[in-house]
Amino acid sequence: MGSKIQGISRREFLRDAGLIIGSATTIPASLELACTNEPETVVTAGITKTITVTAPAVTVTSPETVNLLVNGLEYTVAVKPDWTLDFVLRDQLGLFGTKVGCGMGDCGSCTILVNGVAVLSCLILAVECRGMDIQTIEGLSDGIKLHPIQQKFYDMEAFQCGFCTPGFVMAAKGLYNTNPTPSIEEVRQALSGHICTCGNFTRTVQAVTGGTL
Amino acid sequence: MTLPALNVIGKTENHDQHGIQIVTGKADYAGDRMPNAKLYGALKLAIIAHGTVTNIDTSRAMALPGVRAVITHKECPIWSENIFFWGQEVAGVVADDPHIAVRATMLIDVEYQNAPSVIDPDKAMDENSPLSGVLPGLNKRVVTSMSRGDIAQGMKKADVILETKQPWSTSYQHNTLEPHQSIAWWIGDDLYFWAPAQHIHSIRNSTADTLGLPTNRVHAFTHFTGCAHGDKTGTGSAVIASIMSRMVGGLPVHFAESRRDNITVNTRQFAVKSKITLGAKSGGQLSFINASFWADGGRNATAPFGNVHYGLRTTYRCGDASFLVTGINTNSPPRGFWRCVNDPPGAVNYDVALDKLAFKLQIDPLDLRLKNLNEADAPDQDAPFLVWGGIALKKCFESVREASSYDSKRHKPGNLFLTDGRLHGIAITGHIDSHGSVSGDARGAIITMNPDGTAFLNIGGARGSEGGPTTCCHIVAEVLGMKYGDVRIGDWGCTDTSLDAGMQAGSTFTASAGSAFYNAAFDLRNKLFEFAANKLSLKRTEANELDACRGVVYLKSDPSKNLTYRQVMQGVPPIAGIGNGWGRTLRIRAVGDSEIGEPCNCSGDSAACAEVAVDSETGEVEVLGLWNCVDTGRTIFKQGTTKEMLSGAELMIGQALFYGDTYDPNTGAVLNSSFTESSFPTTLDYNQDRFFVGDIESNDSAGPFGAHGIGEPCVSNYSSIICAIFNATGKWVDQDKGACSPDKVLESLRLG
Repeated sequence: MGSKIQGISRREFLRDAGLIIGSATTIPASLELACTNEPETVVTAGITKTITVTAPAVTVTSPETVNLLVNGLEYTVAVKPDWTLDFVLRDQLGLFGTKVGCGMGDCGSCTILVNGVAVLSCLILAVECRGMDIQTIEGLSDGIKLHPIQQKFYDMEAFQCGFCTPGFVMAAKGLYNTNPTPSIEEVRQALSGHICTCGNFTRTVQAVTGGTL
Repeated sequence: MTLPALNVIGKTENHDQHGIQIVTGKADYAGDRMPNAKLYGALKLAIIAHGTVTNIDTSRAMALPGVRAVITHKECPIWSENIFFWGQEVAGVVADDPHIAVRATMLIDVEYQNAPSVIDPDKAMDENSPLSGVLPGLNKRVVTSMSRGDIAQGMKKADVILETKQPWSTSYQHNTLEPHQSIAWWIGDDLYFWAPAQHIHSIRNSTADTLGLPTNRVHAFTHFTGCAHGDKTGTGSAVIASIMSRMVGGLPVHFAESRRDNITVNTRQFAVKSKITLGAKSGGQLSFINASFWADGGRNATAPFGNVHYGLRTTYRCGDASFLVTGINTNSPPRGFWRCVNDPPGAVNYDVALDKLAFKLQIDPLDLRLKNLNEADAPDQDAPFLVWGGIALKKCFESVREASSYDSKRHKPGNLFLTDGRLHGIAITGHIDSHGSVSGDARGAIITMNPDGTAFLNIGGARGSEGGPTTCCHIVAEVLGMKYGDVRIGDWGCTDTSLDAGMQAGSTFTASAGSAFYNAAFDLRNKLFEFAANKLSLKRTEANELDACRGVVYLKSDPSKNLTYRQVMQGVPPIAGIGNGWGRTLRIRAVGDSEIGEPCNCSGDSAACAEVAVDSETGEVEVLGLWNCVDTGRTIFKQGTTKEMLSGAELMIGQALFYGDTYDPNTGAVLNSSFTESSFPTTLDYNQDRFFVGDIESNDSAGPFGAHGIGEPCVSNYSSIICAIFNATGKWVDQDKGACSPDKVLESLRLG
């Protein structure tokens, strides 16, 4: 009951924290008072208990036009300051290759590259990414040939349901950007923030390290 | 029977046909569509374990800018004002963006009337316990009661009797990486939705029933399903999205559960405890089995735990035996399918009992198992008219025994130290899987032959973890004598254009949908050969002598008379092959009789060997090696089979050493609502060089080309790890409500 009543998930906390930072530094967005703390009522054996629900204090309603550089293309898109990058990539730009497994930085599915570095797109606000070079799974291949990392995943059948695969591939690309010859331990470390609930870590690590079964 | 030479089936070079889509991000899951063109839904969950919603005030939520609609049990037919567990759905919001939707749920004011609840399954069995309300008037009921022979007589024969009680096994949510979600919209009276699904036709049918719609007004779609393991068989997300869409005039609504909601609302592996009494002669022959299991289904009135005893009942031969399974319902979140329905908790319970018996008998646990192993092709001990599997189980045991060098590593419990001071342990377990070779009653297949001589499969099911559609392509290419690359997955997962491919669960897709495509391929082959015979101007008698290989139809007695399928199709309208699967129609297989393609009831078998190191100072367990051998019947999709076995090893290490949900003892509330809090293992927890998998082709006749499902037999890995820890430490680790985490291992060592 406690976790529900307190009511703010890690993602919501991070999002709201980001909102405050964003609005204070870069965004002249209008903030609207949405709600105040109000009671939620539970009646126990005829005795009324009042439980205070902590609701978010503000919500943001005004979108702002931003330019985002994604996979080498510049997009002009209306973005609300509290929209995370994964949401904008997927639901505004239609780049659904980036998957969302948890929305709170816990599974790695939404991993993309920002300025060549692997980033969890569910934990970064879209408005923070102005002027940055964003690369998603859709931008990895040239459209004719698979990127070598993708080819390795394909050859090794390093996937099962495939939902986690784009995140793993982009994390591997981020690793190779900074370390062209990673050891197997470095690979395991670099991929350790990723979850595969089918249980396909074995082949994934082997694909990234170039091993064979 | 000698297997015929096959050209496509079992070839390592054949890749998963969805592989390119997956590695390029083109694989489309249910939520991957309609950018800038949909609204978003979110849930509000109950904060009591048992009671009634007396009032819901949605006015503050509706006043939030961007909110389009709020739904409650009054609008949603699968919700109720009666609450049976903490976290049950109470209301939902539709809004312009998902963040607004989540915030609006916090502005819904709910009043509850609390009722007495029971969370602890042991307390639920007390006569004075509050009723959970899940089933009217009771918290427990006998779900399985069966016996053979006479237990009293068996006890008299026994030289050694062992009674062991196992505490509640761990319970954990599937945590499928793709959350439950659906996008739904209406056009007039017609409902359309995308949903992740293990059985899309079933979800279409039950959604139509739930909403009171004719089936032909509901159009369901699924392509890729992000992990399932039994968790994506229900209609929940599709119905909720459909209701949400209807509340906003039919606009598309994307309803996706948050990770917290996903863990809270959906079913999880049920917990099992047991009391097992085994008797044996001094040489190790089982004299009797008296096994009682209790299983906690939480809020789920139909939790599928009736077969937790299955492996013990079928794997080992014993004339005097009794099996009792009692189901319990509490106000905990619902329990249901995970991976194999029965075997993970059931297998570890009876394998621990067998190892304890071997310890008492002072014989090797593997020898005890082999001594009592049911004979291949023996009649079922409780239903003699059936012939069960087990053809290759002995071979599986022997295979892992040899591969792991078990005989040279085995030692008495707790007496071998590695050079680094850690304790060494090794154990082998095995079982006949409780899943049959077939599942579901409706399945069918359509194959289209194109003018260019290629074929498309139209599959009425999703692409889940297992690559089932690719397996079907192998079967069709083999029957038609085509190149693997010329047989492709065409349209799939659309209920309007496909036949029901059956349930993709319980490792049954190869046998169920696979048998449908097997028959559809023969239907198509007959039609194509008829056209070919006419074009080759063959006599009627010669037409029966046609065969095909690598896309060429030829006369066996004169191969110079041949046509490619492309030539056969010239001037011919598109041809479809249609087939139905074998379903539950069982053919009784006599000893030694294994005609390829004939259906029979045969389960998958497997054995596993685990070698572990246990640090007695930290309690940490390291898996040094895990060998798993599975009887595949016939390996169809070689790459997929290997992946399935490797993933089974990883998941069962997770089950043995990591998984475990935490619940508030007073409310049943799920306290771990993330992967991290669920102790989900990562790449750092596995050493990929230590998994060894192998397949044995027994050619039993359960499925096409003698294949049967191979997804679930991997659960032998779980109990082999638990038994290996015992071999290392000489102490049993009680997995009471959690995996063998270091603290539990240390506790077992401390208690001595």
